Amino acid sequence: MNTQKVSKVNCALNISDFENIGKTAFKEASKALSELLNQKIQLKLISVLVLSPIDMINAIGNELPTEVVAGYSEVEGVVDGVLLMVMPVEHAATTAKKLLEQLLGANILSEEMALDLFKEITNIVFGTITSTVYNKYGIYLKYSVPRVVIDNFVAILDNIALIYITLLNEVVILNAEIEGEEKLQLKLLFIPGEHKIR
Amino acid sequence: MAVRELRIVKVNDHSVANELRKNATTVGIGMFKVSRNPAKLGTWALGSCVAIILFDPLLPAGGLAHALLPSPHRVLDSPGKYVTSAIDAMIRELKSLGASVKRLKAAIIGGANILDFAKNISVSARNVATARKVLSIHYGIPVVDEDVGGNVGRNVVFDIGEGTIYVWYTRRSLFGSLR
Repeated sequence: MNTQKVSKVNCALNISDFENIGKTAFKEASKALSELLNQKIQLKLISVLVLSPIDMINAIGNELPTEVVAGYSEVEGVVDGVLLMVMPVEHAATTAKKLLEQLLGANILSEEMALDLFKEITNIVFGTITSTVYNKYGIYLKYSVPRVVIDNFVAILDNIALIYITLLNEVVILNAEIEGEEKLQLKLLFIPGEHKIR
Repeated sequence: MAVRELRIVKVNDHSVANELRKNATTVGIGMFKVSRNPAKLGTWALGSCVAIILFDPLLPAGGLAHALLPSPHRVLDSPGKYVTSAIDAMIRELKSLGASVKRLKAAIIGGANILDFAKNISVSARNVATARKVLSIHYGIPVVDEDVGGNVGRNVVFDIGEGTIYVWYTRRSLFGSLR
């Protein structure tokens, strides 16, 4: 078992804990999303990474620029930071197109409606993540109303990193897939800010 | 001989942008490169970071840095990472290529606030302000063109032979990606 601690965040969680949180939260999120969208949605955890900000930026910075749809919230609680859910823009567009067709029964490609939908999905995922963290570990995290942006993944990370990351904190990355007719990628990141125990 | 002017050209066509990207040497995040003509230097995904471009039109020679922060806090781990040290290092290396500080012109690109945070301490604005200050006050290098601020990511290719800086923004359309 991987027992690497997220030491600087110091919330006594290791990779196995994040795997548990991811699995439970995604299971709950799948149920909630399936009900909301009236179709079977399955979020599946693929891997968990805990990286230093430098490793994260190097790992992602060496990739070609990828445009993503990102839902994000500021987090307050035992630790402050940012929750970020990203999906490649093509995957998000495919998903949104199908969901809008299903919900509206027509081929209406409204960017505004699609982004609102993504915001709602982000809210459900963040809600299940934070409630799972509280139920399993008693750690209370409050998140702000999610906002959504489309931009380059590295540029987004760079914006967050410069505001939130101290060089000592690790970033938690949950890699997930949305299973359906095709597999769609999803990444969920927790980027802690200054170390804080309340 | 025609005088080369350092100037920014906005690119709206993504197929043109892709061609530019393919033919450029990448300058990574927190890095810098200098070169003499012919060379095309490119950097991608500028968020709150800034690209600082220096150009000696006579040689021609130029440099591009992708800096993350205004200045080092304690230890200078990598000169390209900070606005102050990236400018110093580029000037030093451009001089070794035969460039003259008196002839140098500069441009600044980036410094966007892509995300709307409550506690935005605006590193972006400080990056841009530091670049302007170090270039113009410390070195007396004129900043002849800028494309800074806003809330969108940028990509840059600097053609040293022409003195042209090509800039394009991240496409911000969800369904545009399907068409």
